[in-house]
Amino acid sequence: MEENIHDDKLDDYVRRSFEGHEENPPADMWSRVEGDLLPSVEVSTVRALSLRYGWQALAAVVILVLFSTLVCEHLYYEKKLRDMAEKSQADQEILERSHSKDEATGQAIHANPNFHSATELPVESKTITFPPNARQSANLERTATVIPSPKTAKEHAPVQHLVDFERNQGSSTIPKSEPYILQKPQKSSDKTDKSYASVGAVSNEKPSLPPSVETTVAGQNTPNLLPLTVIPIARILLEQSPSNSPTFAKVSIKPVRKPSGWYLGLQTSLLAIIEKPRAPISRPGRPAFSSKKENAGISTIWWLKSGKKLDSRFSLESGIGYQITSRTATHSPKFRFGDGAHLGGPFANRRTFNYDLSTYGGTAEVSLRMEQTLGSPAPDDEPLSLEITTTEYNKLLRIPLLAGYQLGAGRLQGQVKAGLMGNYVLKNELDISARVSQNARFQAVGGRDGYTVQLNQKKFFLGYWLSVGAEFKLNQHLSLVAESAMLGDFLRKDQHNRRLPERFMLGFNLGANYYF
Amino acid sequence: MAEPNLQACLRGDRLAQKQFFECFKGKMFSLCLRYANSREDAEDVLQEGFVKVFRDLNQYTGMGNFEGWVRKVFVNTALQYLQKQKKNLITMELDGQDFPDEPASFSLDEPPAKNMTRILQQLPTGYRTIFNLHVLEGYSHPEIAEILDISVGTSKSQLLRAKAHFRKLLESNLTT
Repeated sequence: MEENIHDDKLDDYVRRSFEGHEENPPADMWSRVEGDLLPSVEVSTVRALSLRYGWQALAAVVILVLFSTLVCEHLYYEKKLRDMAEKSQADQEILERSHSKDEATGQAIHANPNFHSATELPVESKTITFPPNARQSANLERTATVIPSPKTAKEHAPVQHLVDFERNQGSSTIPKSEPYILQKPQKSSDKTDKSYASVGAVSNEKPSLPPSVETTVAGQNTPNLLPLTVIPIARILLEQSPSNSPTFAKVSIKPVRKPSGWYLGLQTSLLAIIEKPRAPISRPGRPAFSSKKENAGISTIWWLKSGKKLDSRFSLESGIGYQITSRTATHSPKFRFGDGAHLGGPFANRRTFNYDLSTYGGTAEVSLRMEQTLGSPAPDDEPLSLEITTTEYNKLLRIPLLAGYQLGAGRLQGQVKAGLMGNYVLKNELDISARVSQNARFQAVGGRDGYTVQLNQKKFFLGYWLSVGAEFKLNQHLSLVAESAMLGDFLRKDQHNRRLPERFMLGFNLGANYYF
Repeated sequence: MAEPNLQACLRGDRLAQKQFFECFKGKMFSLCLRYANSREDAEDVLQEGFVKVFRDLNQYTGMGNFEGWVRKVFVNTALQYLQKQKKNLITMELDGQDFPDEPASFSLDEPPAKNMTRILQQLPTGYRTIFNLHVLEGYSHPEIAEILDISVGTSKSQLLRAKAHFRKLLESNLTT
């Protein structure tokens, strides 16, 4: 009770002392505050937010840009495909109409032995029928169907040749301005497989010597019929007609989608960290030590990548990677007890030892408090040797820009990639987990409890990437990637401009790409 | 001194903000000095505190004392600052037993608050924080426990120790 009363009096005394008390801040305080508020409160909020969520915003922007690009690309090609499909459908309908008319008119024409010229056919049918009683043998009985071609006559010289031929023959069924592809149906007398894949295709009957149009018509040796390549992006399917009449090929045209060359990939890298130690540089009154690595220093990086195939060989790739590294190490600082700074007061047996620790992640400014255990006071030249265990936690954002080169062809292709990487440090901490004195006369203040130190390293630094591997295409869209990789960092410095240990990582990447 | 125009401050009116700053700077700097380890730290807290007040002014609902709201912002800023500093500090005050190298210079010619501030700054951070929160800000132990993420029992025991140290420092300064 007496203690409480005593406490209350103390509380009152302190409170009264501070009542109405004001302390003037430095004269430039308002300008400092104003500097943080400039140009307005809203902007300072934006700045504070950007500082706080800077890397998340950066990652979000990169992902958004990549995603938007891919979506736009996708939509563009979808539209293109739709247009092509519609056009194809329209062509198909025209063809079918033509086909049905041809069936009707073809029969009639074929039955008419006095029929001599295609000029007598209706123009819409665009069909030229050659009667069996022409100058050639019955075996040469043929019907030719003329289909409008999407290509120009100039692009397809054989077509032009045929057109010229028809024009020379005085056919009015082919407008002079419009190029055509000439297609042959099967022979009417044979119902087995006698389809012609296209103009100029080889029949089963005479596989080695297909009859040419001019042979059919004029019985002369003339150039072969059109090759299959004349009809681009088209698959021509021929069907057997159930009737005995001369039949026409049903042509189904489906557009083949041209790959955009863009791809999106998800990859993971498993990498072993290899570092080249560097002699630590001391500052006045502050010795420096370096740490010895204990664990293997395995690091994982997750990548979201996007790339574009520039041609069949070269590609460009970028993306964003998130790396987490955890690394345990030890170091052994050595002092004399007299090197420590006195704490004074009732703790004269305590000293503070300050030093710099050069590690993988940066430089840590360490300050250890050691105290003397029981016994006579330690002289200043008493050696103090410590064994300190540390664990580093690094988090990095890595943004590569890579040039790729593809080797080979087919489903399995080799690839080589090289480029630069921008690296941004998200977290760089060092946990001092154990402090053990080799000299029994001293012990760490606070026992073996650990604490965390920030590692000093410039936030942004450059690195490089080199990888060699293979890509296996599962289908048109999906592929698997496996490659061995070497990633490294260029010169890194701490805040005091001292070079940090050089390091690089060796390992492999595994992942998948999706091609749009 | 004229009452600061909060609406104008909210709009980002620089003159109104300066008026606001002039109105609160003395009291808030005194508060910052009590929490911080040094005058430089207190200046940093004051600067950060005003920026936060201007930024979060729209969160003041009009309920309760406005000065109380401003104080709360500054106390939170000071606690965050200490927390950040503790993270960056190499040494940790695990039990709060660390004492400064030199005794505080106590002058009877100066206002008692200045002397008290000097003694407070000599207390270990943990003790000083709990002492400030309980004795000067009037927070209860459950509230302190929640703010500092400690147990109520720890808050109570730390306060007792803080007071004992404070008294000891006060007595030693008065006798020298």
